[in-house]
Amino acid sequence: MIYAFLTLWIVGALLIIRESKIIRMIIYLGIFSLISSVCFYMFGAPDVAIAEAAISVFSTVFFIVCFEKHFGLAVGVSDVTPESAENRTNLKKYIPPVVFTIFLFVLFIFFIPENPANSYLKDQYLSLFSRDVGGENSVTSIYLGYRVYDTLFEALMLLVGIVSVTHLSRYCETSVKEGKPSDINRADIAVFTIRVICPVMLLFGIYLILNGHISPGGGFQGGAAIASFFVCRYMIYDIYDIPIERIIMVEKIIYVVVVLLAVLFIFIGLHSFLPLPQSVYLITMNLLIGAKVTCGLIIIFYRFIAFERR
Amino acid sequence: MVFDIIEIFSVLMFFISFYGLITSKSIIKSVVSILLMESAVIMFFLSIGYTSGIMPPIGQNPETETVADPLPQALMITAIIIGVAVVAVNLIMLISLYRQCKAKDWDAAKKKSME
Amino acid sequence: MQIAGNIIIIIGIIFMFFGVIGIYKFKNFYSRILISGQIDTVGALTVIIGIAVKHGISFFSLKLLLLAGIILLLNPLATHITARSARLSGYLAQEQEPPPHDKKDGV
Repeated sequence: MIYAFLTLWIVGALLIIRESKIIRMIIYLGIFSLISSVCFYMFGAPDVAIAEAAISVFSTVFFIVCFEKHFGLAVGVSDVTPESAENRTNLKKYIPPVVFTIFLFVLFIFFIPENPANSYLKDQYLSLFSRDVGGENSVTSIYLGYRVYDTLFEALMLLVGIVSVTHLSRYCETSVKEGKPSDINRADIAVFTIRVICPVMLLFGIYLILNGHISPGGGFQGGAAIASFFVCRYMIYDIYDIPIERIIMVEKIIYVVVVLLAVLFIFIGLHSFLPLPQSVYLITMNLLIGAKVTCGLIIIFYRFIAFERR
Repeated sequence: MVFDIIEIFSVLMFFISFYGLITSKSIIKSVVSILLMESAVIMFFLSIGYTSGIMPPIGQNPETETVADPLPQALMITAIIIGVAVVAVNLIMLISLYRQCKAKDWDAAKKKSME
Repeated sequence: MQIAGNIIIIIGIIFMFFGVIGIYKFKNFYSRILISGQIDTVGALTVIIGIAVKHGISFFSLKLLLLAGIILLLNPLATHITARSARLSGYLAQEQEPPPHDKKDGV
């Protein structure tokens, strides 16, 4: 079963690599993310599967928005200019990269030193996590307890990504507001149904965050689910009343609070002084990380939407 | 033989996307190839130590034999979130490049920037 | 209960099977959209109800029914939006003369 899905995974990747039309490439990308999410679930990683399913929505949406605004997303739009598309049929050019890639593949398969099988760390984590950090989901306990450095630097990397996105794009709020109203002809059924379904999505995101320490889920996945609520909101209303500058400010403050909480609880050991249950720390950190991821994804999405056109 | 069969899938995938990266004429496909490469790395980390009938590592005291390793999972969740940030930065750079020289592929962009 | 659930699941799979045959049989885009709506909504819904019947009255089948409700709400919407935007962007049915750029790579 798992081999069938992995084969499908590779076939999907080959389709993406060989495709020359942008819109088909994006559709294949969505299917590819779905298949890899199923594979993650089969490897016994429901947390990663939820994260992939929630995040792949965003990478697909970024691609769609980017190409719809700037390259045109009609059926026939190719990803290269026509002159270089003609060169594609020349098969001789493809022989050296194919040989090179196969050579690297064989080299990688056969010529690396054998790594020691360490199940020691796994046994240690699985037997001690509920005593040390608390909670029942060992993945959440690891990324909020033992490996909290990784989470902090991951949040920092997300912040750096957002800073570079805001640096490279110019958000011209006035031109967006005073521009002509969008002439998109929305379906009434779509507006009504998305209005019905939006609270459910918000509820699902909050559920994922609050139950992150006892069931699959957590701050990252719930944050992405809540941010997809804002994407739906944009789709039905098409208004730009999101205060982007304030959200950037909020995100920076949340990052500082996350770092402070982690330092206080993990490195100083505050919960040994206070009569608090351990799950308080986990829920608070999950909430803050969820808020941070939500803010980051909203900022990136609205930057893509309101990227200044010329 | 160092790798299991199930790990070879993701190594193969990595080199397929590597092939896409080095042969692609269009900048868009390079971005997509980087995305696929990240997916391959994530799949490789998760597929280490796979046995059939593996269980998710959730519960108070799971049996360590049939339970997946939680450490790569915790690392890979963060890797996925970073992946979407990388894609966003790539796309923004792509748009800026496109606005400067109106080129969707590397050759044309190179030609425009030489002028 | 088990047998009834299995029968309902098999019926759902039959829906999907004929849907896949139909997608390859019809060449017209709008007929294909109709058939894919059948796969999306009717097939998936029947399979989910079958699994819920198989598990009897439990918390798990309640979750499945919630999922069935969401599918009933969202999948027809996806079919509707696909057909509608195809119509709005000028893709006509096969009887009339299609625009020249759709002839080459439609669908």
